[in-house]
Parts: sequence; C-alpha cells; structure tokens
Amino acid sequence: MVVMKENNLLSSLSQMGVGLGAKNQAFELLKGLEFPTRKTEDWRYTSVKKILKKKYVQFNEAEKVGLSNEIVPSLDAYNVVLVNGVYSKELSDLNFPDEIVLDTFPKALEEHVSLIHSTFNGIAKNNEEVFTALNTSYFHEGVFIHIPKKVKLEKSIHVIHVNTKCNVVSNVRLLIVADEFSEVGVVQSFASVNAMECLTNSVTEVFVKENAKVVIDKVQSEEPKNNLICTVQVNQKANSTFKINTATVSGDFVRNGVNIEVDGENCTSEMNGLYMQKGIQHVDNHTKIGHLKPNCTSFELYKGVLSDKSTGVFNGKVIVAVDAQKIEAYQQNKNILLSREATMNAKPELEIFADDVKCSHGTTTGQFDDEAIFYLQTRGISKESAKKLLIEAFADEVIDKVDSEELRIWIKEKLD
Amino acid sequence: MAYSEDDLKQDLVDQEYEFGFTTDVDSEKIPKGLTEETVRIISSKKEEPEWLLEYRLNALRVFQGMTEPDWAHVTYEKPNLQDIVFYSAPKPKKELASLDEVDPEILKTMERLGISLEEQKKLTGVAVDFVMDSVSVATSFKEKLGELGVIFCSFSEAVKEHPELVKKYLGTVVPSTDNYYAALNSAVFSDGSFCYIPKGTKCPMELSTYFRINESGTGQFERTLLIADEGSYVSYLEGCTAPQRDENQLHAAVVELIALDDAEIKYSTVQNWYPGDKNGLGGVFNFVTKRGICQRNAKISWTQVETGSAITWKYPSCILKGDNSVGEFYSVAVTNNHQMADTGTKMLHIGKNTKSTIISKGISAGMSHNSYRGLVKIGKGADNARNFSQCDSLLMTDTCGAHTYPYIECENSSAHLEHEATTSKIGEDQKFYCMQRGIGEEKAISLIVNGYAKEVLNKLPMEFAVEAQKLLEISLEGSVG
Amino acid sequence: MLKVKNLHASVGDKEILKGLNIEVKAGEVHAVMGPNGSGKSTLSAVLAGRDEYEVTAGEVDYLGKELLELNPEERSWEGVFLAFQYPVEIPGVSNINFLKTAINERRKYFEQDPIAAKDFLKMVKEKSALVELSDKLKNRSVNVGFSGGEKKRNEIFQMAMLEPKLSILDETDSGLDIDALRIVAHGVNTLKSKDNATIVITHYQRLLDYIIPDFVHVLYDGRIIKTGGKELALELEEKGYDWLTKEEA
Ligand SMILES: Nc1ncnc2c1ncn2[C@@H]1O[C@H](COP(=O)(O)OP(=O)(O)OP(=O)(O)O)[C@@H](O)[C@H]1O
Ligand SMILES: [Mg+2]
Repeated sequence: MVVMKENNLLSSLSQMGVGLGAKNQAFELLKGLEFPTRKTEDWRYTSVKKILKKKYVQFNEAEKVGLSNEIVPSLDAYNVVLVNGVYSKELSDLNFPDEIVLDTFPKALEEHVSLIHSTFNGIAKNNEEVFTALNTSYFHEGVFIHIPKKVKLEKSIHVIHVNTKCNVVSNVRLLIVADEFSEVGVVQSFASVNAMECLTNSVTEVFVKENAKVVIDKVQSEEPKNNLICTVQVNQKANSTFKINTATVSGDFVRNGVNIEVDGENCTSEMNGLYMQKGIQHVDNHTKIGHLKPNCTSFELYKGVLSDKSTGVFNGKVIVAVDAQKIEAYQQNKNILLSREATMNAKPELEIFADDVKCSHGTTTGQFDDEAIFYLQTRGISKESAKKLLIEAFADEVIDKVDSEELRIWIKEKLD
Repeated sequence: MAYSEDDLKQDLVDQEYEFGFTTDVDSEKIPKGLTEETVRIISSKKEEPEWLLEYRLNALRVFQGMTEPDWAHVTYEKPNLQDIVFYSAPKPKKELASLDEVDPEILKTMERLGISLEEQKKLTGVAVDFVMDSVSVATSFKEKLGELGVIFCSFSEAVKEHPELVKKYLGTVVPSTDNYYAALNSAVFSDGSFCYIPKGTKCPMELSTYFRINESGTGQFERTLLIADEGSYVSYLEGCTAPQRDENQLHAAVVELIALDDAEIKYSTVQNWYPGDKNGLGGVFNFVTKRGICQRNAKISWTQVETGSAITWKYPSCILKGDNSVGEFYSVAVTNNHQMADTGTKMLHIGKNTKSTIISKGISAGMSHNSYRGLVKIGKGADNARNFSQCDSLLMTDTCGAHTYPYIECENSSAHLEHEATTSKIGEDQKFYCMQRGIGEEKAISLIVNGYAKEVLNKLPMEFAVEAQKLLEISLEGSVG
Repeated sequence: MLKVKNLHASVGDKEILKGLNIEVKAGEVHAVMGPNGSGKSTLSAVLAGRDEYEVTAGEVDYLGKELLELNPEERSWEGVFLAFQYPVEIPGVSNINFLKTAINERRKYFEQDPIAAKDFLKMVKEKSALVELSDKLKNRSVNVGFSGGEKKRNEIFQMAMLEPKLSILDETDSGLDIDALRIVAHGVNTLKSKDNATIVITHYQRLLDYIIPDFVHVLYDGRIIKTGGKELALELEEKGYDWLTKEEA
C-alpha cells in the first residue's frame, strides 16, 4: 500500500469477526490501492485528507443506549440496530416472519453459507473503490436480508446505525437479496448521539432478481463533525424495479455512492436525493447507472439547498451500453445556494453507445426567484416565511418520492 | 426500388474526401525531429529577435518536462514528435505585392476549395490571409485596412513590424505552461495570423484565414494573436481543409484573443481537415488551444463547425475577467467513420454581471465518438453571473457513441446556472413526415440535421453559413444506420 | 383510383386491420368513421407507407400501380397526401424551405427543373390565403410551437401546395374551432375536382356538413362493417356505434 504519512485511519483498524475468503482477498487488493486525492477524477471535489488524518477507535461490543429519536414513530417496521458499528440484540426486533432471513453477519454466515457465498462481494467494486475494499477487509458486523421467491414483505426493515462515542470507526455491511417476484422496503438511517469525529463506512450490496422490487430509503442525520461514506451497489435482473431515496440532513462529511447495473430488460430504476447542508458541511453524491440491456427506464432527481459555507457535489453518470436500445434515462439536478460562501459543483455525464435512446440531463444552480418571493409578500407573507415556504416546496418534490408517509413526516421533522 | 439502408451505408463507405488532393509546390523543409537545435533553426530562419527565441526556448524546456495527456474516449497512437518536420515553407518565399505573384498551383488549390481569392475579393469583400503549410502566402485588402489602422498580417511579419504589440500580448492568454500541446506550439510555432483593431474601430469587413496542411508528415503549428482594442469590433473567420494523406498529421495551433474594454470579437471556424478514410486510416490530429480574455463590457463569441480531423481536441474558452463581459460558444461537431471529437468550452466567470451561453450540437455517425466536455466556473467575486448551456447529441447509427461531460462549479450564490443536455436518435416521425411530403430519406436527414444545427449555423457569417451547410451534408451523406 | 382489397396489417404481433375493403373513384369524397382504436389512423399510415405497420395480406391498387410496392416519397410524388392526425414538429426547418424541397424533389422525379422562386412565392401566397395561414407561421419551423388548430391548417396548406390526387385527412377537424373548421373545409372544397379524391377520417358529423361525402364507411375492429350515404353519418351521430357493433357481434 502507498503508505500515506498521515493515514491514521488504517492504523486504527484491526481485522476481526467474520472469517471469509473475500476479506483476505480485499485486504490483499487494498495493499495495491491508493487513497484518492484531488487528482482522482471521481474525487476531484471531495478531499479525504482530513478523514485519513484522524485517529479512531474500533468497537466490538454494543453500548446500551436509549433510541427514542432514531426510531420512526408509527412506521411499521422491523428494527435492526447497530450501535457504534456493533449489532445490538437488545434494541433489535427479533420476531420477524419465518420465511425471510434477517440476520447479522457472523451468524448468517454460519447458517446460510451457500447463499452468502453466491452473492456476498459479488458486485462490490473492491478494485475500483478504496473505501469499498477497506470495508470488505475490515467489516465485522452487518446485516443480511434475504427475501425468498414471491414473498412480499408488508413491513419495512429499518436498519439503524447510531454512534454514541467519539472517534468511532465502523465498517458496516449490508447484503440484500430479493429473489424472483419478491418485494421489500429497507430504511437505512445513520445518526449519532453525543458523538463526534466518527467515521462510518457503509457498503450495501443489493441483488434484485427477475420481477422483484426493492426500495431503499436512506436517511443521514449525523451530528455535525461526523463523517459518513455510504456505497450502494445494485444489480438488477429483468423486469425488476429498484428505487433509492437519499436524504442528507447533516454530517460534516458525507459521500454517497450509488451504482446500479441494470442487467436485464424491462427494468425501472429510480434514484432520488435531497441534501440540505449548513455550516462547513460537505456532501457529495455520486451516482452511476449502467444500462446493459435494452428497453429500460431510469429516473434521477437530486436537489440541494446549501447554506453558510457548505459545499455540495453532484456527479451523475448515465451509461448506455452498445445494443442497449430503447433506453429512456432522465436525470435532473437542481441546487439553491442560500449564502455567498456556499459552493456547488455539478457534473452530470452521459455516455451513450446505442442509438435508439432518449436520454437527457439537466442541472441548475441559483437562488430563489425574487418574483415568487415578492408575490408571496404581496399576499402578506413575510420574506423569511416566504423563503421557508419555497425551500419546503423545493424539497418536497424529492421527499414525495418516499412512499411511506410516516417516513416522510420523520424526514421533514429532521430537516426543520 | 427503394433506396435501402445498405445502399446508404455503401454510399457512406464510398464517400471520398472531397478536398483530398495535393498541391505540387516545392517546399523548403528542415530535418525531422524536435531538439533545441530545431527551435533555434526555426527562429533564425524567420530572423526573429532574441526575446522571441528566448520565449521559444523557455517553452521547449516546459514542454520537455511534460507528459502527453490521456483522455477518455479519445484513443489514438501518439504522434512521434521525432518523426515530424517542424517547419516547412513553400518556395520561393518572397514578398508578394499582389495575387498575380502567387504560385498558380496554390491558386488552383484554392479554387478547388471554392475559396479563390479573386472570387472572394469580388463577391464578398473578404480579406484573406492564406496560410499554406504555416507560412502566410498572400494577404489581400491590406491597404484598405491600413487606412483604418487595422493591422492584419502574418505572425512573422507582425514580429518584425509590430514587435511591441506581439511582445506585450503573446502568451498572456495561453501561457506556454498551459498544456502539452500549447507548450509544443510555443516552442516551434511556424507562422499564423496577427490582427490588431485600434480603439473605437469597427472593422468593416470579415477577416479570414484559410489553413491548409499540405506537406506530408508536416506538423502544423500556427499561432494566432488577435487584439481588439477598447471599443472596437472584429469578425474573424478561420477555415481549414487538408488534403488526403495516409499517415496521421499533427496540428497543434494556439489562438489567443484579447478583447479590451467594450470590444467585441466574433471568431468563426469551419474545420474540415482530412478525417481519415473509412477504415480510420490517416487523418489529422487536431489538438488546439483557443482562448480569449474579456475585459470590462467586452464580448467574445466562438462559433465552430467541426466536420473534419481524425481526432479533434479543442475547447475554445473565455476568461470573463471584466465586469459585464460576455462569452459565447456555439458549436456543431459532426463525426463519421472512425473520427473522434472531444470538444467543448470553458467559461471562467471572474467579473461581476458576466454572462455566458453555450450551445453545442453533436452529430455522430459510423463508428465515431463525439464528446462534449465543458467547464463553467463561477468564481467567488462573480456576482450575478449567468450561464445557460444546452448540449444536444444526435445519433445516426448503433455503432457510434455520444458523450456529455459538463463540469459546473459555482462559488457564488447570486449566480444562475442552467445546463441541459439530451441524446437521442434522429426522429423516425420527422423522417416519415418528410417522406410523405415527397422528400427522400437522404434529403430528409440532411434537412432535419441542418434544422437541428440551425441555432449554431445562424451565428456564422453568411459566406460561411453556406459552406458549413454544404459540409454538414457532405459529411453525413448516407450516414443512416 | 384506389382499390383496397382484403387488407390485413399489424404492428408487432398485434393485428389491427383485418380484411379491409374500400374503393374510391376520382371525384369522390369518402368519409371513414369509427370508434377510437378501430384502426382509422392505421389505415391512413399503411396507405402512406409507414414501415412500422406490416401488411400481412391484401392488395392496394392506386391508379393501376401496386401502391404497397412504393416507398413513402414515391407515393407522395404519385399524388398521395396524408394530413396527419398529429403533425410532426421539425425544429430549425422553416415551413417554406420544407415545402420548396418537397416540391422540387417531386419535380426532379418528373424530370422537371426546380420551381422558379417567383412562381413558388406566388403559389405560397395564393395557397396560404386559402387557409388564412399568417405569414409568420409560414416562416417558422415546421409545426414547432404551432397551436393545435394552426397545425391542422398548415396540413391543408401543404396539401394545397402539393396538389395531390388522393388526399387522406386524418381527423383534420379535431381541435378546430368553428371558424377554423369552416376555413379548412373551404380549403378542401376548393381543391376538390373531378380528377381527385378525398378520404376524410372523422368522428364528427359537423365536418360532413361542410365537406359533403358521397359515401360514409364505418370502420370497426379493422374492417368496414357498414357503408352508406351521407345520411349514415347523421344516424351515427344520433345512435352511436353500438347498434352496428352489436349486429356485428
Ligand atoms: N405503433 C403502434 N404500436 C402498438 N399499437 C398500435 C400502434 N399503432 C396503433 N396501435 C393500436 O392499434 C389500434 C388502432 O389504432 P389507430 O390509431 O389506427 O386507431 P384510430 O381508429 O385512428 O383511433 P382514434 O379515433 O383514437 O384516432 C389501437 O388499439 C392502437 O393502440
Ligand atoms: Mg386516429
């Protein structure tokens, strides 16, 4: 490995728990990888220097904590809780239906060896993404969700990550396998309670088999001074539907990667994101959708409101492979800068190798329409309220993509 | 029987480069290769002053410390610089007082290109600075321009006659450290055009230069420097064609535009260098650095129609330094067969109330790749900056690629940026509608494509618009997939 | 002029026309009516030569030629004109340029010289007056930003310019206000002669008050299930299609 002088992250980590060949392979791979610099095209607007410089502590036992804020009120869900990166049996629901598998990693590995071996690490990009390789090498906890054929899970599964101590580093892993004709909704939330300077590096692999449907809602409301890297890797087979909504409420450093391979015909894929940063927060959303087969549709909508000295990055890539005809791919990114010192960098990309396609992207960066504010003022609404109203309306377009009303309310409360 | 797709494909394959012929003129060349010695020879042959030699040698040192860049979606065998002849001037090289003195072979070449000087002089009143293999051969309308104080001459002449202007502005917009090919050009540039429009002068005619690469294995390194002094206006046309050649030829030009306060420069290019044959053999490597700087209330407008070259790498850019300055970029890029084009613009907003507009229309056919790559950067102090970008791609075959890579960086909250891009196939409905009205498929495609590119073609001066339209048609003939 | 015999056509695996027969003679006006989705636009598209629609059986004789053998522009040159139900927008191509190209392509086919600019302009002036199309619209890009009614009027303007022998008007009346309807009908009637024929596809009797048909056909499920005189249209207006389709079932 290219030993960076200031890379304390690596020295804070130790391998433990899960014994998997994949871990050792990734560890070997990691030795040959470099951490990104500003010269790395995919990281040109996001520096990881600060993260690497910090010293962290790795936990192996769950804290006992109260969780009132982290559970979505009246959301009908099975909760799975990880505290400081460690599974908490006490806080998690244990009685879910027999037909599904919902297990933590070390245990799942004992009971579902063959299933895990045929999927786990199958689509993670260890060789391209150093933080994924890092996760594969060092993860020791995680959640495995398997929905067998034709099972439509009514309740959601809510995976809650919460940090309660300072300087916690955790590499957490999720594996979701939705078999043919199955349906599942997963909520993944990241939060911290009185914790600072933590780094959560989460990797999720999702297999959406033929005719299956998977929806993921990610809610990121880390306290300031915390760092979060979230990578979601998806593989879709024919006639499947996948949707992911990402709401970033806070966190000093947030990097989201969503990478979808659409490897079957007649699929629908959807990615939505909302980020509302303040202070010196930095949020970076990188999405990539690869259309490998014909007759598919994808939609993407990312919106951001940036205040103070915050910075936002949006990089969305749409790739249509040779012979993937009749693809419709639409991407939109809209940003509002509320302060002079806020910065937005957008980089929407289209790479098209087939001809019978309809692809478009658009991005706007600006501030509120003065006309609209004036109009509201003439109707007796103060300037401040008018702005607030418009921000809400702006954000609602994304929040409305979340199917569950309970979750929508919860996100809105967090945004306030 | 109906004209089938296969017929069309065959037509496309058979289509030969219209301007593929070589002029038979004695050339004076220096030995191949690039060393300090090469640079010294070029400089002394051109009887250059010491400061310019120093400038070249500095650039050479910078260049030698650089490595050739790699770009996504542009793959090619890198030109071997030691195998290139860095200077080639048509012989005899003597001052020409009138067109009559120009070698008849060269005049013939121009005629075949449809740009005969006489004709142009008569019909359009265009002053043409004709560059053949890097050395300016004939310049017309000089006297008329002279009366207004407009200087329009070859670069070497400017070095001799107006050293103070050249020295003041050369390398101020594109420093020799800018990039690999700009450094190379700064070291070995052979000739090019120089233009100065005095304060408050509106140049009464379009200034035009035709570039041609003639000598086999010659790299062409022109240098263009255009200065529009306060409150002046100029429209400048640049057209390029190259004869058919089997080996790749390198073309690495540098164009610098300086628009002082309240000045306006309109710079139009029709680029039709030899694109290589249907198998991707031969063709020009076109690696060009074009950039302009706008002072207060100034405006620079780039319009380009790119149909030629095996590889095009080109981003005409604007530095909007002065308050209220305006930058525009209008582009049509057509690629066919094995061509690769990676083109776009950079708009750097520095001053307050600066505005930029980008309209890019890509058309890909055959096995070609056509990419838009652009940067819009709004700096911290660029209050009320505005940008609008529209990048469309049209695909003609299922073997080509169209890519869009815009970078949008905004550091000022009072800015307004809008970027839109679409990629789609040529409309079947539109084709059928035309055909129902009796317009055959070929013609229908040309009609639709020209309509699609209209927004950009409209920005070209009249004389160019017709040629550009013809070029689009020629480059796309039979390009249906 | 036009003899359609046992025409079957499908899109993909779906059969839409299922043995359609119709005969149109010079000087006649035929109205084709029928419920949504019965195949009216499909018929017009097949006659104009849209290749999405595959003809699986049947034949079409047009002025002694096998119409189905010709490609769309040849049909156009031979005098077939289709006024589209949804006219297509072509950005950047002006109406005038479009028509001039169309006329000259046809002249080339008949080995005539391109039309003189003067004659062309005179023709444009004359024919646009017929449908009261404003100058502004003529110079704008083909159908781009035209209102629904303007598009339909533009179709008739093009028809006037191209002087077809067989015109097929696919719901040219829908989206027209009463004045526009009168203008369009006036245009069609003026262009009518003993040498040309018109097929009017419509849902409404009101158009047929202005363009009086010699025959009215009812198209249902890919076949003509009834043919009558102009009074059939009135009957349909009153009773709907149910009484006929029940009979059919
Ligand atoms: N390109 C196509 N692909 C698939 N189905 C089609 C296509 N074109 C037509 N159809 C189907 O064929 C049937 C007949 O369509 P058509 O447009 O001819 O009806 P119509 O009689 O003109 O209807 P309307 O009165 O609504 O205009 C409909 O069910 C339609 O959905
Ligand atoms: Mg219809």
